Amino acid sequence: MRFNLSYEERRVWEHAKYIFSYVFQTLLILFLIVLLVKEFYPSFIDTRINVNWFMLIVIVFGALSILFPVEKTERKEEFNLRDKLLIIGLGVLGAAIIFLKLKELGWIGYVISILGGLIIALLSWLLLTENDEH
Amino acid sequence: MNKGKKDEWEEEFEKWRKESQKKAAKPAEFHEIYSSQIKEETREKISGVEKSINKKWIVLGSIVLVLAAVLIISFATTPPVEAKFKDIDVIVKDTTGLPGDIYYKGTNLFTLTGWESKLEYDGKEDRLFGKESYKELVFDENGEAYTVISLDKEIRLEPLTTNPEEVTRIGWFTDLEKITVNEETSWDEKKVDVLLGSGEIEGAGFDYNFYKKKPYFKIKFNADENEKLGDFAYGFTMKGYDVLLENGTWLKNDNEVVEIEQTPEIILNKSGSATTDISDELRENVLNKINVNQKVTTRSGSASDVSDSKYEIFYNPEEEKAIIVYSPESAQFKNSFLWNVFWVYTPYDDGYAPVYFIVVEEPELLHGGNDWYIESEQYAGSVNDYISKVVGEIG
Repeated sequence: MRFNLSYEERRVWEHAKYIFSYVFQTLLILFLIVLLVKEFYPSFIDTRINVNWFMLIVIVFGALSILFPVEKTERKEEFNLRDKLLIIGLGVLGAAIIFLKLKELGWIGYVISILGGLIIALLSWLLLTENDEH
Repeated sequence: MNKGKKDEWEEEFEKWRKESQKKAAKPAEFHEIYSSQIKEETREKISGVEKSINKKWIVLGSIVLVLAAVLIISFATTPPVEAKFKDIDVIVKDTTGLPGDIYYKGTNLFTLTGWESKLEYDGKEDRLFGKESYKELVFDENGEAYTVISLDKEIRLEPLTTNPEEVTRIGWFTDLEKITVNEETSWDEKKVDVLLGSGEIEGAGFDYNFYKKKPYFKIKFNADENEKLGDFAYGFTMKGYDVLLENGTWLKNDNEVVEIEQTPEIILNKSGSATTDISDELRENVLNKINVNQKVTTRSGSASDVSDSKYEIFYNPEEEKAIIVYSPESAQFKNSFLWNVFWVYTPYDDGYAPVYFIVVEEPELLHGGNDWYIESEQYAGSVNDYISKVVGEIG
């Protein structure tokens, strides 16, 4: 279904679409941080926040940002050094978090955390290079 | 002539074909000419809207919405776990027995209960908060009524000698609806007052006092002045703790509970003698009334009365945690490892003295000169000195 919007209405609607997108991204990052903290300090989170409600709000904004995506003119970006550092950083951080949770397992904990870190780095690399190949 | 007509027709047909081709070519030509123009105009329109996007409004709108979402999550929704006052807190439940679960750093430490607390009034000792119940009755083939009591190892039958409609009342207080719990939390202190409601004994209740980030608290039983009031015993259940007396005696917790896959025996207690020889109809009526498919529990554990100790230390070797229990006017400590229940008796002297509980983590306990010595990160020194310090701090 298409609506014929005036220029002003369209302008407001474009602003709203940007807001949905940014709010979703911000809340998703906050939600993931809360989940990460909850893994290590469950009572700290459980006594302050109802994670289920948080997830519900994230899903609502996620749905809004998918249903009303921001129309952007294509800007081709190069896969640069910053991206490479980000991938390495994410891999190391992921491996460290997995290791903290599995260190009681002994040597298998080291193996799983290294493999986990590699998978995170590989997926991040695929995700960042996907647009270029298109 | 025919040939001339044919040429004329061919000429006309060729003309028509060329015109048709010209017409057919026009949309493609039109498309070729105008499509790039339309594309350019659309792009300009989109980029016009894009150019008019005001980043300030987007950032402001996003911040407002994120803050609104965070505020809703923080204040409008209830967290799944109730926040506890640090380091020690109580959650008093207005359920049978009036349990007050004591939490230390979020985990349950022990339970102070109205059911295990005992009050002497008018020369009679009873549980502080009990329950009301009616007798379970069964009938034999002659219509004779018996009361049924389900115990750990047996189901006991006794001939009915009292009015079955009469309620059996245990404890000085029984009405759960009359319980009121008031909480008052300031920056550095939390007070929880539990009132048991009116009755024969007026103004009865507990006052709990907790102190921010301190490993101790005190509890005080209150009742309005009444000459019939006698000793009060603060009763609490604590599993897995040894008891250390001031004189150096270490009472090991020898509580043992064993469950056996065995149906409890039905015993008839008649005219002072017990028998298992009962009629089939009475047995069937008992089985219909009471679930006998329960496991039989055998329980063992020692008990002790201590009257020459100013304090007791409860020590859990598994958790490496010690709890010093002290009351300024304590007349007696009673310990039952059989039920893991412990009592601190305090006499009535224009009111009751409070009981102090001090939690010490990972202590090294040494005894000498009729006092225990603690070596821990929290405190190092004699227990009597630690008690004096705490009482001096909180009064």
